Amino acid sequence: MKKMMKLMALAAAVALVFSACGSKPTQIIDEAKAQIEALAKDAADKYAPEEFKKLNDNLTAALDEVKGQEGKLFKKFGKSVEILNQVKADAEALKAALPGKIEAAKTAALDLQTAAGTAIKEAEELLKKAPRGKGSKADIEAFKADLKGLNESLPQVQAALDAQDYIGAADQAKAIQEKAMSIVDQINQAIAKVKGK
Amino acid sequence: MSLGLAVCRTPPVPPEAAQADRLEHELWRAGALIFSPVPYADYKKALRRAKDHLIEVKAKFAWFRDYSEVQKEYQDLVGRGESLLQTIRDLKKDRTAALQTELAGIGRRLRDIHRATQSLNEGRLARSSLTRAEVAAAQASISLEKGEYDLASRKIVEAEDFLREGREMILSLLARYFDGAQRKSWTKMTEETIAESRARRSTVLVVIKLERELQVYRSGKRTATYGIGLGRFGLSDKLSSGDEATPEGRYRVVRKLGWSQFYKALLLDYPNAEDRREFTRAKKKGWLPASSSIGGQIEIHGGGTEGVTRGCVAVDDEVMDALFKVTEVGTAVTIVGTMKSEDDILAFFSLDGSGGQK
Repeated sequence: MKKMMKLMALAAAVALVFSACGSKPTQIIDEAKAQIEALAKDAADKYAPEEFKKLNDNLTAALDEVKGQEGKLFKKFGKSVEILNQVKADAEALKAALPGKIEAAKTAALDLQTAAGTAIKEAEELLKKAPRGKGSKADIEAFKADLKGLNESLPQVQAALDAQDYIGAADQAKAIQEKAMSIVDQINQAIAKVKGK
Repeated sequence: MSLGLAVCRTPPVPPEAAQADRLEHELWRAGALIFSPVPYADYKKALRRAKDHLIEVKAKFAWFRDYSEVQKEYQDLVGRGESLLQTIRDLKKDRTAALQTELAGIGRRLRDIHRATQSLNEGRLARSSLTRAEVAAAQASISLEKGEYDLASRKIVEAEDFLREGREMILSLLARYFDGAQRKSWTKMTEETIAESRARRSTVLVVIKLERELQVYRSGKRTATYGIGLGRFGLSDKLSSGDEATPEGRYRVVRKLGWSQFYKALLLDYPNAEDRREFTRAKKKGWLPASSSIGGQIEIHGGGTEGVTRGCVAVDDEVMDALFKVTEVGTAVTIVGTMKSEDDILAFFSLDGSGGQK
């Protein structure tokens, strides 16, 4: 009887050990998934696409590992938990880094917006100083029309910034700035031509 | 001993499993979601199935594990993935080339319409649209470089819209020049002027506004052609003072001015009887304010062709010298829009899509 009791106690202890080691890490899976979903909402796929894709892939790998263990008699979720913890840590790191990345993109876009505005202003100022007269009137009017087009393009940059599309805003502002600078060059050439006469 | 080891040894996971995973990542990076979403989704589904099978096999005790089936599944998958990756690369190459061709076409048309804006003083009105087209095209180029094909396409459409707007503005300026009856009248005036030159063995001047030409005829034969500059709204027919348009009609030199604000000048008898009739009619119809006057002082003067006049015809100073020698008070001066057909006008301004190749 005593022996029987000992065996039962041993069996209970073994079952306890197996159940403790073999329980599916549901909570940590849910937490990792929630972290990734939150990152997706914060546009991580746009501002940190590689890191975000890696996180998703690692989560999939962890879930595969869980699935693999579920089919086994002796379940060991240690490796899954390890991967999931890494996913969580990486998600946390990305969450911390993401505002910086977005802020950097925003700053770059704002800088380019300012640069585009400055370049247009520079062209406008230069045009004001351009020698006036019959010989330059046509050129001045043409440049004014060019600058009008650029001024009309600028609100699109602001619209992109308002929509938090910082990459699109930066591209647009860069295109405007480059065109404005080319107009500055053309005005300078026109001035040199008039002065050279 | 070795038999025992062989039996106990866990068979390795097929290397194709990791390869298929890497391929999935490469496909994603190559833009499979954009270029081949359905085959990519199929690949991912197949990869999922293969992984499930791999998990099943891995779940078995080591000595029951046989990866041969799974390995074959993965090998097929890797083959599919590589082929899909090549397809995507080809698609990207084709799309890049197509978008670059579209951008090059936009660039060509932009240059053509830009040239037209430089030839027509009124053309400046179209330039803000052209600038916006240029900005959109530049943004399309930036997006294309980054592989953002959809954004590049959208920007190309935007550039096309602005380009169309600019072109239509230019065409609206030329609308009067496309009118057959108007062209017939200009042709008749020119032919009568040349006929007069032939009959009287005299020198006459014909100014063709669209082509910006001043032609000199002596005894009915063209002896010289010079470039001219026109008014801010030089393509329009002058109706009243201050409209900065250049009049159209048959005129005579009424004074030769050896000293002028613009070197030398030939003063014309604008307004003639026809101009007065048009002015009165326009005023009666309310097209002009009651206080408006018909204006005058229309000259052919020096100062250069690059300037913008207030309705006069400007030539270079040396041309003015030449004209002074061959003209006299009473010399006929006929100013017309053009004698070119609509197709020829479009080709002249490279607005026919020929890119100025005609």
